Amino acid sequence: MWIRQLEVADCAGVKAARVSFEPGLNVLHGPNELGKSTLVQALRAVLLLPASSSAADALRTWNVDSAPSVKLTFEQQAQRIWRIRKRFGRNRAQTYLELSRDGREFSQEDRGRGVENAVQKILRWGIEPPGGKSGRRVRGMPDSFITSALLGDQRNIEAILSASLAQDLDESGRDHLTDALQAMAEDPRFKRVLAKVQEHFDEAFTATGRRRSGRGSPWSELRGDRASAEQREQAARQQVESSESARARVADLQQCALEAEAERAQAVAALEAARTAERQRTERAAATQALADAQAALHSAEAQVRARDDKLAAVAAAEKQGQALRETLAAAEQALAAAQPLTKAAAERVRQAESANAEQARRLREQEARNRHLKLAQRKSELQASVARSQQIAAQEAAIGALRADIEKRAEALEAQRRLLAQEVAKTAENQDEIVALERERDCARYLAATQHATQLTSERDAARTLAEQAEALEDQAQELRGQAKALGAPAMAELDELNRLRTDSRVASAKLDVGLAIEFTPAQAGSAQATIDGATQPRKFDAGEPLRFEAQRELRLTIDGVGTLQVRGGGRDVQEEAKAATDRWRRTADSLFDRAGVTTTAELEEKRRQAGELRAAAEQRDREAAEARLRSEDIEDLERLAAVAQAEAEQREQAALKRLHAGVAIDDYLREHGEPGDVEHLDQAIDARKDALRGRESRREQLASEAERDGVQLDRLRADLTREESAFRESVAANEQWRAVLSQGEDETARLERELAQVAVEIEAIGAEAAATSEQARQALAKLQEEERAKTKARDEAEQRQQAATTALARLQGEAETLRAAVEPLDVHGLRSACDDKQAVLDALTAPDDAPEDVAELDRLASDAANRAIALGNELSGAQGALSQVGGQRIEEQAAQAKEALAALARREHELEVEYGGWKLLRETLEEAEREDAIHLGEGLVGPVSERMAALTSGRYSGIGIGPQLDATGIRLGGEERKIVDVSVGTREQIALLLRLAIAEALGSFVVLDDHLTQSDPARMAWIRNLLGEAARKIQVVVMTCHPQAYLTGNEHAVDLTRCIERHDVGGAANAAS
Amino acid sequence: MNTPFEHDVALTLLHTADWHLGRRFPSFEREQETRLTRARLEAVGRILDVAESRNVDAVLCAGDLFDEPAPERLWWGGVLDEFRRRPWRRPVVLLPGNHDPLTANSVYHHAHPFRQGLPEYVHVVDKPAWQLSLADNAVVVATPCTSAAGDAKLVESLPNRETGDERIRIGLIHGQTFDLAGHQTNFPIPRGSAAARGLDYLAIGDTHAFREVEPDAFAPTVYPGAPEATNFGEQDTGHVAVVFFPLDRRRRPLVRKELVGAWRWRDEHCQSMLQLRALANELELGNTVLRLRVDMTVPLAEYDEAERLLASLGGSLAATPRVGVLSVDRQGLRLLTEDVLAEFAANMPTVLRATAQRLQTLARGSDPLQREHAERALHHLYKLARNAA
Repeated sequence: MWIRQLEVADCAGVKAARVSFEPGLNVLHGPNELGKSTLVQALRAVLLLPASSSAADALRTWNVDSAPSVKLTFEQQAQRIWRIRKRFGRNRAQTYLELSRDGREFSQEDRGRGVENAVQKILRWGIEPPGGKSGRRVRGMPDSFITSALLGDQRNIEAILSASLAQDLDESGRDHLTDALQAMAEDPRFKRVLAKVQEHFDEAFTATGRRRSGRGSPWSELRGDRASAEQREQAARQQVESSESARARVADLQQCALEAEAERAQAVAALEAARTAERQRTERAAATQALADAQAALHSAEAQVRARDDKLAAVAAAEKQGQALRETLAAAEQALAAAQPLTKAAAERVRQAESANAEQARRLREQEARNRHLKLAQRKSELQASVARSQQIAAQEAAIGALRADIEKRAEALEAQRRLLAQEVAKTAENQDEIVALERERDCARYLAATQHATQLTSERDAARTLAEQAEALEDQAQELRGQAKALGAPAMAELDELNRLRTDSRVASAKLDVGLAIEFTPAQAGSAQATIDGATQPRKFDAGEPLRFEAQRELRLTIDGVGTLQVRGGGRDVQEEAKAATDRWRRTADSLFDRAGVTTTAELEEKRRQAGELRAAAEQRDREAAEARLRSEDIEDLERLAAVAQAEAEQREQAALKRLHAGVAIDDYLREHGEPGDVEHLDQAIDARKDALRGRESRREQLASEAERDGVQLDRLRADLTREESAFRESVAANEQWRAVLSQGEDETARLERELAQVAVEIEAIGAEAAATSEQARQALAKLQEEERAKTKARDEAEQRQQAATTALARLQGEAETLRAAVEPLDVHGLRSACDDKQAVLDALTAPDDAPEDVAELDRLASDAANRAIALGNELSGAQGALSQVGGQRIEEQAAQAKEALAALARREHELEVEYGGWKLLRETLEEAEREDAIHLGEGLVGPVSERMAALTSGRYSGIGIGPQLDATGIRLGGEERKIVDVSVGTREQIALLLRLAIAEALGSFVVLDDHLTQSDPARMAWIRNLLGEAARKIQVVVMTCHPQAYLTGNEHAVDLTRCIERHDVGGAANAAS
Repeated sequence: MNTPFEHDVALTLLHTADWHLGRRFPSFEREQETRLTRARLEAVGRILDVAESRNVDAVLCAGDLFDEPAPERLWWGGVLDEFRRRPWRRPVVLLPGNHDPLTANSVYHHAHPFRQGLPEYVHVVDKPAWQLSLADNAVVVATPCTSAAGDAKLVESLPNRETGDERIRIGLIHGQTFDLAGHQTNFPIPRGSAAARGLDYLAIGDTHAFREVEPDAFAPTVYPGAPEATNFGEQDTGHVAVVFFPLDRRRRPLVRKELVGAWRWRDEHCQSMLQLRALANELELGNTVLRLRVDMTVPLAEYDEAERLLASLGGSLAATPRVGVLSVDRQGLRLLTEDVLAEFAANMPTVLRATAQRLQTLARGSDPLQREHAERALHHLYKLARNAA
């Protein structure tokens, strides 16, 4: 930042002033009381003081009414030129801020109160704008650490040295300085990281941390997509809702239509029912009457028929009784006739039973029966034994079958088990092979890793060695460069400064001779003359009476031929002597230096000085590089040791890998065949996993083998059992060849034998019983038969009597029945009953109506209303179905689902973007915080340049300026001891203050205004400082206000004679230009 | 081509449906969406190529050829180009489905340039009980959808076989069979419809999976499915049905499934670096639509590796994407914040180390969003510090 122009009007005695500046060193010189300090005051006011501030009263000219006004043009950076215009005064204040790219065309950026804020944002000097956060009201000229440094009054050294950032009301100054000093001190890696982070941050955020909204912003596209997706999702949702609503409406209408249809059907049914009930009531009344009539006729006819039938029944009963009596009589007679021979036979049996032949015959029969029983029992016993043997054989056969099946099953299981075992064995072998292969690969991987590590360490060690060699070479080069610099014989800076000072003194002294000379000579006669004006001779002819005029600056000599020589010099003798002495001093010094350097001009001397400086700088550079190389090669011993260890380990690994590989196989061959090995850790894991699997497999294999062995033994045992059983079975079959037939028929045969045995047993028992009972039984039977014969005779007699009485009663009843039959014959009872049934059927067929008769007309009206409602709902339903067919459907649901998915995808993308850029933002903030904390001691950034210059200024006497965290100067090192700033001389303090100000201005890249400074410095230091200002002015603008221009002017600066720029008010209020 | 009755085939058909041309995939990024939408049109070319190579007698398209009734010109223009560049005589029948119903503004309307531009061999089913004779031994009967939804049983509008009609009868209908659980049934097709209408084959469309509805019925009822899937989770897509009708009418027609789809839709869930590495090492992912969910907490170096693998799958300005279409949900990819500092280079500048330490503290905080930001910031720092070194 540099000042281009300052214009002042009616300001503290200055009526008008206009000063143009240039980049670099500007020396504004003029006598005391001209208004130099007013210009600095105006500069401070236009930059810092609000136009309406009461502090501006100090700018007023006491005897002038016009309000003071200041116009400042300054360049913040290329093509960013600001102009501030202020007119001060409580009521007449005006402020404008304008911007230009070329310094000619300005456009207004702000006016009024906003200007103060804008200006402080541009400057970032730590000045709080009016109404700022602190709420503190500033009286007088606002001040801050930076304003003290850039615009401070050099005479007030204490204020400059004790100024601290801690006193600033606004943080902008601290931030500005922090940025500047950090930029000087940052690690390049940190700078690269921060720059990259800033790039990413800028992609998404504005400088104030808000999300960017323009084109190219990552948020914009997403925001657009999000808005469209939301719109689509909402539209789809509405469509689905419409569809659902249409569907619901259709469903509702369908339900309503169903209900209306049901209501209509119900009403129609009710109407029909009412009508039917009416009809039924009429029909039932007629049918009931007809039925009653028919029933009456039927009842009468039935009564007559019943009387006849009763009579006929009585006749039939009588006939039946007569017949029964006859049959009883016949039966009685028959029974009697049958009983009589029986009685006779019984009498004969009594006689026979009591004879001897009968007993003998019975015994013979009994013996025969017992013989048969014995044979049968024997036969049965034999049969049962045979069946038992057959059953035993069958059981043997079944047992053999079961045993055989069991053996087969066990054999199969055993075979399967053996197959499983074989598989396990194969897998185990496979697993072992895999482990071996993996171990080979792992060992090769370990070998490679160890080799790489060794190679890397060796390479690092070699690099360190190279660095050490480089450091040595660099140190040699530095030494050589210093030798070259010395050989140049260039003057020291102080010597050169001294020479320049002497030359300036000489020039100043010579300048004092330049007083201006004028001679006018009127000759009496014509002639010629030689005029030497300031060393330049010219011939001149003249006529008589013609006046000759000569003018010179310093010396004039006129030689008139034939008359003599007139010599006129400017200045008094002392001045001339002083000039000569100054020139001699300069010449002596110059000659000495020229001789030493082997040059003849100051320019050449400066060139020598520059060359020597460059050589020394190069030497220093070599020293720094050497130091860096030394630093980097510091670890060489460690690296040597580590490389050796790594090499040994690589060899061990190689041996291990070779041992693992097949004999004679080289590792490279293995790698060529199998490719690059995997990661060691993963291979170890894989090997462990396979070993675990192998252990499990081996355990399972052992278990399987043990089970197979056990099952094999068991199977052999079973097979031996089977052989034994089969042999026994074969023997049994040989002894009982018919065992199967016996087994199948034995049961039936046994049953048959048992039946026969039972019959014979009964027969034997009957024959035995017969012997005891035959005689007695025959007697009892005879008595019984005789008794029965008597009873039967009596019964026959009684039956004969009853049969005669019945025949008489029957004849009477038959007469009465004939009478009744004649009366009933014309009656059709069946027809009457049938008629009655018909009538009843008719009546039954007629449905009985409800109890209460309905209002048919009302029901008719209700049915009509229900039908109308059903039709209307049907129409509405058709319409709704049509609407649904247009708006509904799967497509809408799919679109809604898609829109929802899209929204979810965008939400994910948005979240991802937010996290991505949120990460960049957070990283930037955290980097800045960490950096602030790291660099909170701002003073360390300035210590270097200030101390270095102070040491150079004082030829190493003072060094190590202490600058506090808040940039206040705290102490200085003198001869290795700490001293407080206040304890050093005023001149030194003044110089420290200047160095501090320059360092701050350089750090900020800002102009600095030095008003009447260094009043306490001796000439040598002044010369050094003059050069320092020239050096600083190559980077920043330095404005020096002075009444001693000779102390600064070297011909390379922009010098401004303020007497030509400032117009002052006279004491009475009128303006007068300073001379 | 060899068929079980190659010497006695009476008729060969290609049956396809559900092209859904013009379908949008808004959940993907624009470029990927365009790729998928384009893929559907490319499938049409492959379908017609199959018809040509199998020398079928007719091509039946059973509805939903377009995703909406009036798609953009790009889509119907593309279909027209495909038809026009084939000098065919074999008939192609286009049936409007519920996505592209026959309405006044649809592409199938007489006045629409698509309909007007169709070659003569392409026929549009534009009325109920529409019929087209195929040579003298077969007939196609069809009824179009005229609305997006409805419960009409369109199949019942097809005429029954008349007495003495011995031709091969093929029904063409768009709708849903009753056996789709959880779906609202539009234009239902009752079971046994093919037999009930006297059909030898019922060509239907709507479902995106290839499916023979009644495998035991004599007359097959078949959904050929969509030639390219439209979403994740759709099974058995990417086919057409080639149907061979034997001369011996006592034998059942043979339905053969032929692959025409080029894209594979996959859902993957990676919960470890091993899984992610395995996925990243797969070779054939160019025609894959991959929905990838990453769910794992890993140390910084692996986090960085995961980022690089994801970048290689999804592509970047400098690298071609390895996956055709990729959608990544990486919210589950979290950083293991234990001992983060150990993963940075030992000689890192103090201020960067301090930054990493601060971020590590934030990454262990309680605010979930800030935790995520801090984890990501740590990863950014890790990358930059490595590059800066």
